[in-house]
Amino acid sequence: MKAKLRRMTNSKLFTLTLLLIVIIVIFEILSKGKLLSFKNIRSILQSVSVVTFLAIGCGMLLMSGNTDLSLGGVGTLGPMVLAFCIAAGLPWYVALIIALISCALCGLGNALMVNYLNFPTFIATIAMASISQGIAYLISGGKNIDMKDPTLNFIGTKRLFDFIPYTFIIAMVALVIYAIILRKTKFGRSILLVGGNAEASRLAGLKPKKISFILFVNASCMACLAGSLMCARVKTATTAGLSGSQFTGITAAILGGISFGGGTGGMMGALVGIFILNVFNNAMQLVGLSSYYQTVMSGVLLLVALIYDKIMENNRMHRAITAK
Amino acid sequence: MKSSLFKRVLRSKLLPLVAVTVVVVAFFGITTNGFLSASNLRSIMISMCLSGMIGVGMSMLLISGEIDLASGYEACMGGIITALLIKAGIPWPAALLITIAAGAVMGGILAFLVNKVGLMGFISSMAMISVYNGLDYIVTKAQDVTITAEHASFYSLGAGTVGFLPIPFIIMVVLMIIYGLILYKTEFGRTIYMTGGNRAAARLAGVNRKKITSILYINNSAICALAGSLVAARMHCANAAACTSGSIDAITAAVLGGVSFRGGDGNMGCLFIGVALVTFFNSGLTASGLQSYWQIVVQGLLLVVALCIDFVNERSRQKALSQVAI
Repeated sequence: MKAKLRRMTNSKLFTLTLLLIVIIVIFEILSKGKLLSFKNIRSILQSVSVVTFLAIGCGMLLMSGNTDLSLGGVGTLGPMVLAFCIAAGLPWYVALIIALISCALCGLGNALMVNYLNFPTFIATIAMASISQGIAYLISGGKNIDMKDPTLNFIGTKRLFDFIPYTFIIAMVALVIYAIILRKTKFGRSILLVGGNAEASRLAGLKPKKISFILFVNASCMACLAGSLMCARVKTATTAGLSGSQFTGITAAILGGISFGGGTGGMMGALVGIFILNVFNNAMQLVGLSSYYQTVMSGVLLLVALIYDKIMENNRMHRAITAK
Repeated sequence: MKSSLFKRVLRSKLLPLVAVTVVVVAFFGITTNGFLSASNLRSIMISMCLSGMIGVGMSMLLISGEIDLASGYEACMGGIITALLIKAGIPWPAALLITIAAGAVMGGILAFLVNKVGLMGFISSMAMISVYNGLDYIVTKAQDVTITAEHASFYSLGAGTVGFLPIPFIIMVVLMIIYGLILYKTEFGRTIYMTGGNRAAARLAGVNRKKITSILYINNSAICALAGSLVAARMHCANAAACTSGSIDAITAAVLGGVSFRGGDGNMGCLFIGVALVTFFNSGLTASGLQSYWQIVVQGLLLVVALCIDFVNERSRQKALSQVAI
């Protein structure tokens, strides 16, 4: 029992949850009780859903030892295609499938560049970011496209019991599905193995390239869904879209204990990371800081997350050496 | 002797690039009116300067196997600092020196994160992008910081000419020559190649990689800050969006020119050709009246092309190495 308790308090998840609680308490006091008001919790839940999808896609890739910096661009392209198709008169599910396919192609392009041309991941995906962002501009002619579809707008704006947004429910269902894939299926286990040691996993009979293809396409589709949810809420596909939010996904995932080098992490941690990020951003608004301070803080948070990840990794290495 | 020189020229990586540049220039020269006019050439030269100057520091980093994606934002910061200082009444040479020092501090932060904390260069510089970008907007209150006409002597630094050549272009070329000489002629320069080419071998040969990359990070940010102030001098103002595309442009140009993305290869000649090619291409696209959104797509495609060339070069280098080994 004692050992079990000890293990729990030593775990990353415990530290992160503690951090989340500390942040909530501090800002609850600073914002004079506005943070935990009914209306504000509702709006935090709303913004959590978009970031969740980004963090799932990005987190899975990070676990396998890759990154994708094109998610912002792809997440702008997807909803733009969606809104364009709906404006052209297609039913929403057909439009959504077309949007998902176009984003999947971007992911495929990333995977091809990384796996067959050996481009460094981050620079290949930066190139894809500007390609997809540019195509989004070309589709819309540089303007925002209105998206008026009863079904999508219902999902995007309505809430269960006037409290839990439907988008949040969808995001949580997706998170649980991915958590199960990661923990219970052979494919999920192999992702962590590939991230831990790609060469060893190849020798053990896994196919790292195939896994990386699936994860890149998956990340792009997740970005498309994230963008579409946002677009369904504000009823327009904007050219700014999700651009820049690839960092949000990475930050949330790393804050949630998914290591930058790959090989460790889980979806529960990611959820805590997502909440830390969103509560923090929301609280800064409540305290009355301009959005530019948020930009600065998002960079600082990413650095903090990275440094924390580095320290944990060093500890892990240290333990591995002393265990021998 | 003569034939071997001829062969070397034929075989060099630069020749196809020069050829492509000539083709690009000729194509736009024929298809668009006034592309090769003196005034347009001069404006192309001036627009080369931002990516060219950032490219100098960036190439040194790339050769040593590191990267700084925040360069463009450091340049923005540099421009804003200069403009604010001049506005506060400090004479511009002093303002310029302070800006360069501030740039060195920015590079120092990155060097600390990479070499002391042990983070990867690209992700820590990406985090710094948000930090600098936010700070730029906070400091300028999202408005232009104008440099008023009383300080007109500063303007010439951005757009003045000596004979036909614009002053910023001359500064860029001088920088390229100086750093080219450092790379080629000094012991320090050779060790930069070594760190980028083979880290383990460099360490065993007694090269202090951390020291070298720290110097290069600081150097890069200082040059970026200078580049940003030159842009401010040209536009007579500084704002938070002026130079943001600089880092990607510089990387594209350098890699396109043959500076290896994986470290250990490249020189300032490569960089110059790469910058010229990218700038002529972009300027030609603008002149031909294509929608500006295409340029965003083309920027990405150019980077992919550059990486493809790098991939092919790397393969042939590996091949040559394995043949030597046999």
